[in-house]
Formats: sequence, C-alpha cells, structure tokens
Amino acid sequence: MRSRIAMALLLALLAPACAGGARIPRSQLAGWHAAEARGTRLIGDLAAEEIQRLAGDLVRFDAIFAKLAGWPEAANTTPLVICLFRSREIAKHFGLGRGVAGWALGALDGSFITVEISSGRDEDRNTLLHEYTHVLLSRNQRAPLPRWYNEGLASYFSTVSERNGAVVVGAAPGALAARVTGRGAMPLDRLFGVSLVGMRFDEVADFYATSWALSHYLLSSPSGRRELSEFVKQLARGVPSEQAQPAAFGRSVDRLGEELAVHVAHLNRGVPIETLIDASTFGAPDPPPVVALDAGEVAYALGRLALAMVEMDEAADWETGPDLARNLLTLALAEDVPEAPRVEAALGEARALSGDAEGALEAVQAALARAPDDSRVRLHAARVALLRAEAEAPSGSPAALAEAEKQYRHALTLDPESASAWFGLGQTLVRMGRPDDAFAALEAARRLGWSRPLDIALARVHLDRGEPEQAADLLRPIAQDPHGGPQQEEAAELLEQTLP
Amino acid sequence: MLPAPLARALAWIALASATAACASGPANRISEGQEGAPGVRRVLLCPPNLVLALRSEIQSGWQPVDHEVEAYLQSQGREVGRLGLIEGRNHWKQAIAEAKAAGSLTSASGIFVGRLAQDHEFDAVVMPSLILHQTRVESGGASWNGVSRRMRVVNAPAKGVGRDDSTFVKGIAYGGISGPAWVTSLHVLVYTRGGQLIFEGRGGIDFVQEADLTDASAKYRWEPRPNSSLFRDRTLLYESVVQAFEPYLVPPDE
Repeated sequence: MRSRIAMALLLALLAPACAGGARIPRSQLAGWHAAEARGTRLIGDLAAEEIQRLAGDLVRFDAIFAKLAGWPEAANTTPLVICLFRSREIAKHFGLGRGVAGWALGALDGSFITVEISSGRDEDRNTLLHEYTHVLLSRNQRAPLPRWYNEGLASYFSTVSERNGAVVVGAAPGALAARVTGRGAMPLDRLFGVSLVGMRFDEVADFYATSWALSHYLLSSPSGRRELSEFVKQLARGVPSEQAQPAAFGRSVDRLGEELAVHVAHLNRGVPIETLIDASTFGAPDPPPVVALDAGEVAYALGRLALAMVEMDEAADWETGPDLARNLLTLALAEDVPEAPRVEAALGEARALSGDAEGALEAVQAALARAPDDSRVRLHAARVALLRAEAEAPSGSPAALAEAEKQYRHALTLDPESASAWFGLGQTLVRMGRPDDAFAALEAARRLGWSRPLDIALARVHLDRGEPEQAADLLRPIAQDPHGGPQQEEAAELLEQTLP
Repeated sequence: MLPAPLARALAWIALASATAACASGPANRISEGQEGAPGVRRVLLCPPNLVLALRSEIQSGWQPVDHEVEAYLQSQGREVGRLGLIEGRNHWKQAIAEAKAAGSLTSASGIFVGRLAQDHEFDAVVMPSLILHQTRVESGGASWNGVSRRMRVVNAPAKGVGRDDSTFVKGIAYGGISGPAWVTSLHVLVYTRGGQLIFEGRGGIDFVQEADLTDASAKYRWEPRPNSSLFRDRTLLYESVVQAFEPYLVPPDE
C-alpha cells in the first residue's frame, strides 16, 4: 500500500515535467527589459535601471579590454544576446543554478551568455564580465583555446572595476586566493593536460583557482604576457602542450610552479598586484537606452537561446531542449510579435529537432510565404531541409538536399557574410557528393568565423580531395585538446587517417 | 562556464582549507597620548585599500565605506584632504623601492608619508582598507572586530508547527547555522606627519553571505548567497567606522 502511494506521488510529481516538455509560464515573461549597445543585447527579468547599469558596465569594459588586449574596439561582428535571469526557476531551465552561475555559448551566427542574477552586485557583475571575456576571446579565435587559459583569463578580467578615478585590473578574488593558498596550486603539467570530464567538484574548483592564479601571475609582467601569448600561439599551430611549454616559458613547469607559489603567497597576504589606469582615458559614454519587452519578445529571445543550445549540442544531457524551444516559440507566435515570420521559421526548426517533420515543414513554408527575403527565415528553412534530408536517408535524400542547397544559397544572396549559411551550404554539398563546391563554401565560412565542427568538416573535405597535410593542420589542435569531448575524439580519429 | 565563485559553493569549500585569514584581528592599538587625536586638525584621507588589495567579492563596498569614513572624520571636527588612488599608489611603489634600496622594508611607510608631506598639508594620514576574512558563526550569529551580527536567512519557510517542514529546515530558519563564514571589516592605519604609525584599528561590518533556504525542505541543504544588504545599511557602516577609530577618535555620545 505504502509503495503504491509512493508510486502515485512520484507519477504526479513527474507529470508536469513530462506533459508537453519543459514550459515557462507566460506570467513569468512579464516585466522584462532590454538594453542594446554595439551589437550586444541584454535582456532580463530585472528593473530598467539594473539592466542599464550592467549594459553600461559592458560598454565600459569593452573599451578597457580593447586597450589591455591591444585589439581594436569595434562593434560586434556577430550579435551577442545576454540573458539575465533573476527568477531561479527560469534560470534552471537554461542549466543555471546547482553551482553554475553563468555560461557562454558561441555559434557562427551569434553568441549567447546567460547569468543567474543573485542578490550580490559584485558577484553578478563578476560573472557577467567572466562570460563576456569568453565571448571576446572567441572573436579572434581560429583554433581551440586551452581551457585553463580561457577560464584563467575570464576570471582575471572578471574583476575589472573602477574606484577613485582609476580602472583597477587584476583585483584578486579572496576565495580563489585562499583556495590556491590553502590547498596549493594544481600541478601545472596536470593543469595543462587534464580533462575536466568526470572530474570531482573540488578538483574542478582547484582547476579554476589555479587557472586564475597562473593567468594572474603571467599577466602581471610584460615578460609573462609575452610567454602566455607565445604558449597559446604554439598550441593554435598544433604543437603538443608538452613541447609548447618549454618553448614558450623557457623553463621547466616545476620552476614555473615555484614562481607561481611565491606569487600566490603575495596575493594571499593582500599585496595589491594590480594595474591602475586613469579612468578618464576611457571617456564617459552615455548609458544605453532601455526598453520594456512584452511577453512575446521575451519568449522569442528565450526560444532562440534554447534552440541555439540544442544546435550546439549543449543540450546533450538536456532532454527538454527542443521541447522548451518549441514551447517558447509557440508562445511567442501566439503573442503576435513583430518578427512573426522569424519566430515561425525558428519554430519549424525546433519542431524538426524534436522529430516533427510535418509540423516543421508547415511552419517554414508559412514563414517563407510571409517573409521570402528574410535571410534568417531562409536559414531556418535550409536547416529544416537538411534535417529532413538526414532523417529520410543515411546519406541524405536528394530532394531534401536540393531544397537545403536552394535555401542556403538564397540566404547567402540576402546576407553574403553569414558564416553559418556558408557552413550549412558546405555540409549540404558534402552530402551531395560535391567536395570541390563544399570546399569553397566551407573556406568562405572559415574566413568569416570559426568553430570546431567547421574545422572538422573542412578537414574531411581535404581528406576526400587527397590533401592529408591540410587536413592534419586543421585537426591537430582539436585532437590535442586535453579536455576531450566528442569533437576531440572525432578529430583524433580523422587525424590518424592523415598519417602516411 | 563559471561555477558560482566565492559567493557560492566554491567559497565554502575553500573555507575549510584557508589559512591566511583570521577570525578576528587584534584589539585596536594606539600609541600613548594619542587618544582623541590631540592637535590633529587636518587629516589626509587615503583612498580605500591603497596598500592592501581590495578583494573582488567586496569591491562595491569601497564607495559607501569611503563616504562614511570621510563623514565621520568631518563630524569629529577634522578638515579632510583627499589623495587619489593612482597618485597614492605611485608614491607607495616609490617608497617601497627606496626602502628596498636602503635595505629596510619596514621604513617604507615612513618614506611614503614623507613623500606625501611634500605635496599635501596634513597633521595625520589615515589609510582605510576593506578587508575580507573569516570567522566562526554559531547559531546564526558571530562577533568580530568589536561588532556582533546575525547572518540573514532568506526564503525561510513560514514559522509555525507545519507538518511539512523538516527539523533541519526549522533548525536553520529559527536557530541559525553554525560553521565558518566570510565577513568583512574596516581596517584603519593612522600615521603622524613624521611617518610614525600611531594607531591601528578594526571595525567589523557584516557577513558577506546570507543563508538561502529555498531548497532546504526538498534537499536538506541551505545555499550561501551574496548578502543582499551588504554595504547598504548605513547604521552598520557607521558602527563599524566608530569601532575602527576607537580610541583614536572618541565616539560621540549616543
């Protein structure tokens, strides 16, 4: 009797989660605001002044980062959407909470950042700048960045702040300084070579703390900055980490570890190892304007985020991904948003991803009828066709592939700078058995952006064309990424095929 | 991806192994005859954390604390001059270099004040810093550096004898938590125009975190979250400033 009650209770608890997939009620999409500046759009369930303050922080940070990195301060080439969630319930839908404060996702046609807004102003700002640094680093990326470097720099720049007329760079987080002092730094050969996959939480915490400490040490001197830059350049060329280390640092990893221990001791004692820059050198840009969003606009923005997570395989362990995207986009469509054709086309893609081929086709056809010259609508239509081709036959059904090619080419006539459309076209042409045409399309994509799947696809074409050396150049940095993952495994397998 | 840093889980793991911080600093120390700051009319107030790193977790506190310190000095009838952060840091670095060259690092602060005296009129130099350290919380409360505080508990279940609430949840909600906790304090150094350290004081401010009981009923755990009222309560800041300067400055009668 007791077990039957328990089972009934369990089923009752599971029912809302299973019925129609993950849902965010419309009532939770009210009271949102957005601010936009230089190609970056922040949206969130926050008050207007909070959004404006964080948007202003980002504009300021752009200028500071550009100066420090020596990069031109230019508007974003690909759009960035930053979703800020005060509602913990909504944040959970997007993988936040349970120890994750924020994440960044880079795709060829745009990037996303999510941050769970807590009750602490410093923590929220630091998390936002951490994730934003990941996106800035990815903009100049043409090969995988070492994980410790990516996380270390993001933690380092996350604490940039202003006080008493100075921009302060390099402020130390007390918790990281205490951790790396108390437990000691992770051995550097392990830091450089370890995979985070399957790592215990306390080891992950050690990894983050040591990544930050090493980045802090190297960035605190001109010679360290040169060494850091050289190390990353070598890895991008595909030089194995154990060879790149002595070449870049000019000393053993053990010696570097000893220097790091001294640096950490200074930090832990409270020595302000910081760079100060006169804040007036950055001017005082006006804070970006803020607008109130209606529920439909919010649903569309979140639906696109959910869709991007599925497309980028970020939802591999996130079974509700396509359902959440579909439900949000359906909600957006019902709200009569100004971008209705784009919403409908995105909904088509979400339906295709969740296995509803008929519904997908219906949605994209309706969207194309309403907005035939919208590049984003064409892009969704092309992806739906490609998904259909893959579903209908192992090598792709000819009719669906032809439709995908047509839609990608149409999208490119409307937006020739779309790396995503060039990549999709290349993938389609590969399936159609046209390696030379595919090569041209993938090369065009690579001139406009970078991703691991793009380099792997291009390497496959090189192999088909009998160009193993060119394939190996693309595969080696991915195959040697110590952090593993399916793309690393795929690259490693292909790399073996390049050997004579 | 950023695992929630100090303010969340990682920090609480770090607590157990951290060695640098102390639960509470020594009692305020003052040179003989300096109680009440006799003869001090003009004070040169340094920017917060000029020579001591400001931890990123409490960065936003510099401005309210700075205002409170300046207001307190003025309320004590002192004329307050200000030093810029960049100017001050440059002087400090040069003082360190000179002290190193002279083989006596301990003389750096004297050299530093001497350098300031070349450009500024003052009878005393005040160097305030916001510091982050740890203390032990017992049943939701702790005392450090002259103050006593209770850790805020948020999203606690409604009071009452509800059958749905576990003993665990009620224990935390009404009795408070016990264990190590991050707190912040104001630390103050005062030098004479001649470069002699005459006063060192501390005043506790508040807990850096609060206890969130949102998941306590379901998962038998509470989550540390950033203290949403940190640096926002002027009463707490004032108490901290008064404590940090006592007995160099005599607290006003209540």
